[in-house]
Amino acid sequence: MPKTNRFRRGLAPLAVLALAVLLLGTAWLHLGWRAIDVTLEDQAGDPAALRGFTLNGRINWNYDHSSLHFSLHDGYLDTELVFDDEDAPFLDRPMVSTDQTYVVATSERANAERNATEVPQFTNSTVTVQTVVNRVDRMYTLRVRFPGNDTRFVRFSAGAVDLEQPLVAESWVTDTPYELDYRYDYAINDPGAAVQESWSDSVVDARPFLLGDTPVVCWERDYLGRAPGLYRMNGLTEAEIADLPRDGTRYGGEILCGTTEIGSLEPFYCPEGAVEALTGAAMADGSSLLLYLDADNTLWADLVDENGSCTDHQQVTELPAGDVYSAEVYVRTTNRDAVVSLSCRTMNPLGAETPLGSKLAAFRVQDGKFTLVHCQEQDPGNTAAAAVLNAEGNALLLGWYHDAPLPASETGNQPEDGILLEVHPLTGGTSYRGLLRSGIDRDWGNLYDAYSQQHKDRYLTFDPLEGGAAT
Amino acid sequence: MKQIFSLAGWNWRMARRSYAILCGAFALEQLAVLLWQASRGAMLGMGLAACYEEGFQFQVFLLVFLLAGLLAGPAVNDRKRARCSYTWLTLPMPPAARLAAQVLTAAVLQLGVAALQLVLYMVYFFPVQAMDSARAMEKLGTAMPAQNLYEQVLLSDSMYWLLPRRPAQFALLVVTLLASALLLTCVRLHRGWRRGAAVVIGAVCGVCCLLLFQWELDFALFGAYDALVHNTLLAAVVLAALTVFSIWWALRAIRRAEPA
Repeated sequence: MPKTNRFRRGLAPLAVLALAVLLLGTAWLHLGWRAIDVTLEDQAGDPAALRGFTLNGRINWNYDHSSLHFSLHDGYLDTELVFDDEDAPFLDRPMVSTDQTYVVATSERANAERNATEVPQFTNSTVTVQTVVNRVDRMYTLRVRFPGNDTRFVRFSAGAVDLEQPLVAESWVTDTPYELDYRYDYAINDPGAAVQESWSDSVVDARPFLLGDTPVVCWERDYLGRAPGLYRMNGLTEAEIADLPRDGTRYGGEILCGTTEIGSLEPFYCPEGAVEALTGAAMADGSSLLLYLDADNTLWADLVDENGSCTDHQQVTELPAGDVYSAEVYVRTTNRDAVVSLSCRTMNPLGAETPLGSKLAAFRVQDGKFTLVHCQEQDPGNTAAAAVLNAEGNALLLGWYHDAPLPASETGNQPEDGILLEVHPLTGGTSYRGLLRSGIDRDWGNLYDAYSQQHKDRYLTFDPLEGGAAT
Repeated sequence: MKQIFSLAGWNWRMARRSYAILCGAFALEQLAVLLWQASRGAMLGMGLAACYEEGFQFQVFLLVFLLAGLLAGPAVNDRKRARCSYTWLTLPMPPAARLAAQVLTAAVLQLGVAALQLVLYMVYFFPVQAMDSARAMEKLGTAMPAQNLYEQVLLSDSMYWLLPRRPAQFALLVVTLLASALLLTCVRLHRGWRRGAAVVIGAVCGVCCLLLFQWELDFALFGAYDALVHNTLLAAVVLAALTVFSIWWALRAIRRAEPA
């Protein structure tokens, strides 16, 4: 066939070119990520001051699974982009949450059951039953969650109270009952301000830790016969709760009463003289740290071994007299150290809190003893986002979310541009300042009266200890 | 082999003009939509990836991708001036070779559209960014940080499917390209009710491919769990079975001179 070659002209080059473009594009995607790298920009002081510090974290984007990992160690910044990574471990840290419910008191139960009537429903799937009660039991339900483990529950009563006037209690009868559901038993939503204020909103600190396999929570105040301190939480999983024997009736059906206590809190360490226990943390060699206030608002740090006996007891600082105290352990890379942010706030009658003061406390332990206890002031309006000790234990590396030099939006939002890092020797002063640029200033779009669901904002988190056993 | 390339070249020659028109229209349309999106008040500072998604450009790309595959059909059809079917049916080539040539042209055309979309995405980053910077300066009075091209590719939900991140995803892209080229060729090849059936088969296979892409991602993120493995195998089996059936049916159509 004459001149068939010219039919092909263009087809082969098109195929080759197209394939090359796609392959080069793919290669660029895999290799060219340094374009969005996290960089450390030295601003003041000597970068050699970063020696001995390790700070690890990652940048993630909403609705995306890519992660940009960074590790600052000894002043070197190593970064790596991972496609389709697991969720940031920071988001999944151990947590204990407290639910409060008002359930019909045991003494009233028979009466409530007699007066129970069905309420007409629009749908047939759930039957709502209502009754009238005069007396309710206040129940706390603690839910503790550890990554990789089943959620465990402990439920106990804060005592029964009489209502000012009879109120309607409701319960939902469904085909798939869930024993911890709010309306599983006859319960009241709003018993009135007097009853609501009669018990405390918070009984344990939100951050638990694992001692071996058992979760340990920090009971904050002398309340319900429990002294402030560390308590082992023997909780039940949802499956175990479903297997508990039914012990009451609700609208003719057998149920596990909402007032039945589940699990137990076993005292592990309750120091004498403690008025308010702030927080606990797992430390090296199976020991635990407890921070608590005594009657003079002095903060003490106790180190406790696996058997619950105190191996070291140190005074940390004096805190100003206020209404609300809290302590939060910063994300850390070693359980030999703990750096804690302490804050003190006053609360006005409406419930609004005003910061009174804030401090940073750093601890290092070895062989059951504190080798370092340090405390310094920090600005309560701008507390550090990250704080770590160096290997020698003579300086702190602090990080704050840094505002970008861009105008604030009309709604007052301020774009950030990264993490401001400062090295503070424990003796005082600042020996280094630098800016860890995360590229977050490129996400200014959603702050300025524009909005698109398709835009993926980024967020920076620091990596907690492996295994999620502690912060 | 040489005959297949010759025949593919012949298809290409006939499709060249319409292909150029299709690609040109696509390029112009995408630029217009992207600039329109970037000019909207709600998109200030959002970036190319967000404008692309809000403008439904990935759906347009898929449409153009399918049309490109259909363009390779002319050799088998009798159109007013082409009148090729007689020549095509009497070529001294086995039916399989004739089918292979059609599919080859369709595949190359589709590959070209995919590469074009990638190039357009990267090139259009610059006008979109320029417009965004100008609007930011006008509205806020200062120069706001510019977006980063790599980031706009990384975060784009659409480019995610075009630039593979895992070997399995790459294999799926190759399979999808060849399967769509084949099934679109079959649509052009059959006549009457068989063409309708070919469209339905193509749609089912298209859905299978989309699901397989999504499930491959789920494998990478969540590991293998029962329902996922089961669904993936089911989709793969359906896709393979329909593809094999389509090949057999197409060859039968060629032998029976159906396009005539």
